[in-house]
Amino acid sequence: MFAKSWVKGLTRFSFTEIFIPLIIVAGSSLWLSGRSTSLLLFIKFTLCYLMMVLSLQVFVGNSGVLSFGHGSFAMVGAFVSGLATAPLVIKQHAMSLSNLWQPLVDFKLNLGMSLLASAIAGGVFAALTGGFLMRLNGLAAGIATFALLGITYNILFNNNHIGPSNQALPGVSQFSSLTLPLVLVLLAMVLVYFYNLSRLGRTLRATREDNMASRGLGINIVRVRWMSFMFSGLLAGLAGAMYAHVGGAVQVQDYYLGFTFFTLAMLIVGGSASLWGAVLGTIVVSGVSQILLMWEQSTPVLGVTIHLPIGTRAIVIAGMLVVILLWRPNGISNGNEFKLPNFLSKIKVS
Amino acid sequence: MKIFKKVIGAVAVLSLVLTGASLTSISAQAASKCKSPILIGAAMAQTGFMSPFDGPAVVTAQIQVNKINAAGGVLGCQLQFKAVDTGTDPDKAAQIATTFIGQGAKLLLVTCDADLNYKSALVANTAGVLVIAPCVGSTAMGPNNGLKLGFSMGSAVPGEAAIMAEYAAAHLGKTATLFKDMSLAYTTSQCDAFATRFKSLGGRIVSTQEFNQTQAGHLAAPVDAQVAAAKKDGSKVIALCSYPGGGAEALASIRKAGLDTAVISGFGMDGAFWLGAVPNLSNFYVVTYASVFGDDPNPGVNTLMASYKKATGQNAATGGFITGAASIDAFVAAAKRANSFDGVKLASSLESFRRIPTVAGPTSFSATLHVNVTRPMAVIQVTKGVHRFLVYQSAKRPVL
Repeated sequence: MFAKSWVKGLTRFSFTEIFIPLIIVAGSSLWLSGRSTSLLLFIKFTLCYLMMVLSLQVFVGNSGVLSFGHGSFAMVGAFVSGLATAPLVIKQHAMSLSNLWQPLVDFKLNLGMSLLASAIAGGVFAALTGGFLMRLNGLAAGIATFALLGITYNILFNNNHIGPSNQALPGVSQFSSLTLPLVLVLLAMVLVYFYNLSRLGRTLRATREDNMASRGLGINIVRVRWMSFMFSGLLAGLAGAMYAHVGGAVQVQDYYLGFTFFTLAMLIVGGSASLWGAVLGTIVVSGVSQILLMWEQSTPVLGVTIHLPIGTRAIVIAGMLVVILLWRPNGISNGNEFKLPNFLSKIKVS
Repeated sequence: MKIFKKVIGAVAVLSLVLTGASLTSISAQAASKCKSPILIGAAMAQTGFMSPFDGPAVVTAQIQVNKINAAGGVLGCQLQFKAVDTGTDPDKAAQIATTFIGQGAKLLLVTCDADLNYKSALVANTAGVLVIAPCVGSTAMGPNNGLKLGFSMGSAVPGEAAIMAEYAAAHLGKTATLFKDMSLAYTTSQCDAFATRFKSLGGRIVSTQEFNQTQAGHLAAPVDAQVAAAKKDGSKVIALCSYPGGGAEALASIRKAGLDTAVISGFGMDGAFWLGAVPNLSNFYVVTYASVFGDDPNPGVNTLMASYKKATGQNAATGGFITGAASIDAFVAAAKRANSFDGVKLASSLESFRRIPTVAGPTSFSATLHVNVTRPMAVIQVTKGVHRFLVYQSAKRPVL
């Protein structure tokens, strides 16, 4: 039954919808990262954001329920992966870890396993909390997920037995190259695309479009939301861990309000209803932020140098969000998957 | 079409060759003793909540670089100073640090907090470049966090808190209540170290009152209950381990409740910019780097103050401003000793520092300790909202 529904979903599969975004992400990452070490680091951070935005797209985009709580899955993922890869000598000497619980001091995994563990941790945490949260709708759901973020943050921020509390966890092993984060993101894109086509994804979108009607069709809303929340939590845990492995450190503040709103803004700017929206939003928001940063540093962007006063970055990004949302409330992608421009697709047909 | 592409290609190649040629000619001109100036990059906060600490240090680092260049540079090389605002964002800081390292920086200056600067310091450390945080006050900066090339020119908590405790025990009284801000490692470790040293001097900690402030710099919750408890304690001195705005709000609550006990704080509460929150403040003591109130006995401080005012049009807000210049002093002294700008050599040269003079005072490091704990610090008294320098004092026994 399940396999059959997958095949049904696959009839909607379109080559360009998935491959062009994959090529754009892979191509631009490789091209930009080769240009300077600074851009390489920027691309690594952006890939982590993209992973997080994909996670949000899976749940927020398809269910229409706003979640401010995904930062908590990212936090858990980052803590698991950070504690698993920080070397023993750091765990014993870093001031921030002087009260760490002994089993966590001994906890050691290699990079690959720690990423897997963080994804599982994010998924399990989402499954546990989603059981309660998924019963709520609309504003109540948004506030409840925000409460989840607050609870997780405060526990991790104040408890120095399970992590570095309010300080940085140093010595987290770093990605040696772009390959691993890029491959993970490309894999996640494929998974998310097929998830969106799958029966589960489409049922969830049905509940978004009409709550009553979908219930009338026999859809168990709590169950489909819960399953998506779990998958989404898994990706968020992975995103958090990747973020830790890019910076080489974990600090719980990194995954709190700024992170939550920045990634949600990316999803909403791009258009929350599609994979292409998630990709586009991440590229546009982090791209603009990077260009402004380069101008604040008086570095030319494609030959253009503008010297911006300090602090411009934050103002322009916020202003840009307002303009885009006024101009296109459904995001730049307008909620659609990637489509070749009309004249190009016509050429292909003829 | 093909021809068009070829033309474009030819133009591109030609322009590349031309730029390359012009670049070589410029560098050939500059090559006297040094191929190009030695780049010093500052990935520090000029906006956001770290800016009151970082901003002045950035200015004095630039002042000191100009001074050294005017005197002929270091090892025959001129220095070049570049600063980019991180907006108090650790990830942007890491990226800015990467840009500087990519441009060949030989020294990276980072934000004055060991947690916030870790990612950017790691970038330099991994690339084998020396990294100095002008005013980190925690011993976490350095080998403890795996940063073999990371140093701080700050006077660290073990020394600062010991001075607070020694001054309090000698002049203010032998019973103390701690007001411990839980939001930073700096403030929590400051109160812990104060307690240790105070007790070893025969003092007694009557109670510890914990509070918290948000990242936006406000009290996370009112501190009325803590103030009431402190009032009941009847201690001779309150050690306030905090920083503004939350620290100023806490102090305001203490005074508002009619508690006029002597209050002593560290560098976190330096400066007059927050005094508006506690009008007519008296009986307040602060241990900091230097006095920015014109009465510092060290002429180097006052000269730097004058240059600072000339550069920015205003007075430095806190005594921490001297650490930027001191970072450059330390870099120059280390380079001269090592006769090199190589990060590893500079670090081992810094580790051999024993009371090397800098504008921030005699500076020492060791292989295990990359921050200062024995440097004298200024004790300043506030009476009716006016700061007055009392004494330069160093810790008799740092709390390590």
